[in-house]
Amino acid sequence: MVDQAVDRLAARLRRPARSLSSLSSLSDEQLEQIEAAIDAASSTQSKTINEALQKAWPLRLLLLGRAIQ
Amino acid sequence: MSLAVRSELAKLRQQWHLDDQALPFLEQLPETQLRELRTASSELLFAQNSVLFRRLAKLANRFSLLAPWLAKMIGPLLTARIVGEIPARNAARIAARVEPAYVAQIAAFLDPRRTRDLIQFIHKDYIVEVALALIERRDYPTMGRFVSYLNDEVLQAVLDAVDDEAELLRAAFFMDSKNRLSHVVRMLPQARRRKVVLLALDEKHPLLDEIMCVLANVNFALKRELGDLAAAQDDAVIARVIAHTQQAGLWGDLMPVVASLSQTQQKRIANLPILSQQPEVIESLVLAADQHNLWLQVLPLAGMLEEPMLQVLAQVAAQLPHAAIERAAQAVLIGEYWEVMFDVIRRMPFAKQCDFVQVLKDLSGSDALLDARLLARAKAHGLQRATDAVGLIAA
Repeated sequence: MVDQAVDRLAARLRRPARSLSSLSSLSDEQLEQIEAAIDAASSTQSKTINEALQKAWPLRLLLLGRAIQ
Repeated sequence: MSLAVRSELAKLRQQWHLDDQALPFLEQLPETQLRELRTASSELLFAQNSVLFRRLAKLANRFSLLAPWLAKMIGPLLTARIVGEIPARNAARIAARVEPAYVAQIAAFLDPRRTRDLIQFIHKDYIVEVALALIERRDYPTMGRFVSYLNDEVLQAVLDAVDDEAELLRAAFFMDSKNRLSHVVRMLPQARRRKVVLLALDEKHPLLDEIMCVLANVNFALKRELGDLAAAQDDAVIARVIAHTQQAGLWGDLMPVVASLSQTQQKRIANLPILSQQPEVIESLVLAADQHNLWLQVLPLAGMLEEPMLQVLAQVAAQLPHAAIERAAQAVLIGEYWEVMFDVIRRMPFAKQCDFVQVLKDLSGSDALLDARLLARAKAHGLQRATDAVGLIAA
């Protein structure tokens, strides 16, 4: 089970499972917490970027202009 | 938790926006694994929305005059993601028109490996301003991540500009490439190096972890220079260092430093009354020597111990499991520390004396010459009863 969880985390991080071999000493639950922390960091980034783009309307216009071209 | 793990964990928590105590089980992982996690998740964050980042980078390139204004508008995180996608020379030109305090905010989200070229194009005075802004923000993990990417000229300018040695120590704690620490420390004049040590030992500044991190990672010559200065402080200061090391479990970091001190200081530290009064400290020390494979460094120190301390050490060593005795004996064999070992063994209960002698006998195998030497030295230390019981005989 732990090995499967390490494999899953490695796939999420796009790394070979052997590069995360020390994580095998952790429990399933702990590995899930690591995955959740990575997901949270990733979703914080998405949220921050979306908010930034919402605020930066001139940038959205420039992006739109580029897309039309 | 070692200092290296603490430093790495702080950087990982910063990247994942976690508080200082989150995911405490990560403390049991090796530093290298934590770094791999940080690197991998950083790459994941940069890969996420990479199409958008590249499109924005193209815009920034095309409208570079507007870029500083846009950077302020989109915030430091998105700017950091775009920076790596802009050609370095152009990015440097844009950065020069952004105030250093804002670049310091952006730096927290940058991966220095992606901005290596950009850093080379930025003027050193500007980097100094950014470093001062990072200090102002107390963002030492970000400073530490970038130190290895600064050339000597820029690094020297930063060291000269930061006049508070405590701030330098705080940043050094988070340096990614600790093997560069000796070089960085050598760039400080000797008077400042001394100030760093004395400042860290002053109880008004909670900087013991930081100075231990420096001492643990610099080369032998600097360990001795700075370690001797620290060790020469009065007993109360050393007692505070010992208490902190014991409480934080840092003997694995500190012991190689003690082993690098001059003989005079080693002898003084090894026989401090505080050590013989606290057998639990000696126990931690012995366990750390085994756990961190430091027997070769610890055994010469044991040879400097005087009577009350030798007795305490023998009591602690008598509790060691068989496998640990074997590892210690291997080090004794390699470093020829027979006298120290027998001097300690003779203070143990008879059954334990036999255990140790048995391990030595097994280690010797069928080496008749070594057997003869062991037997002679064991007898000289009054251990004949144990050698007889174990059957250690000269061929």
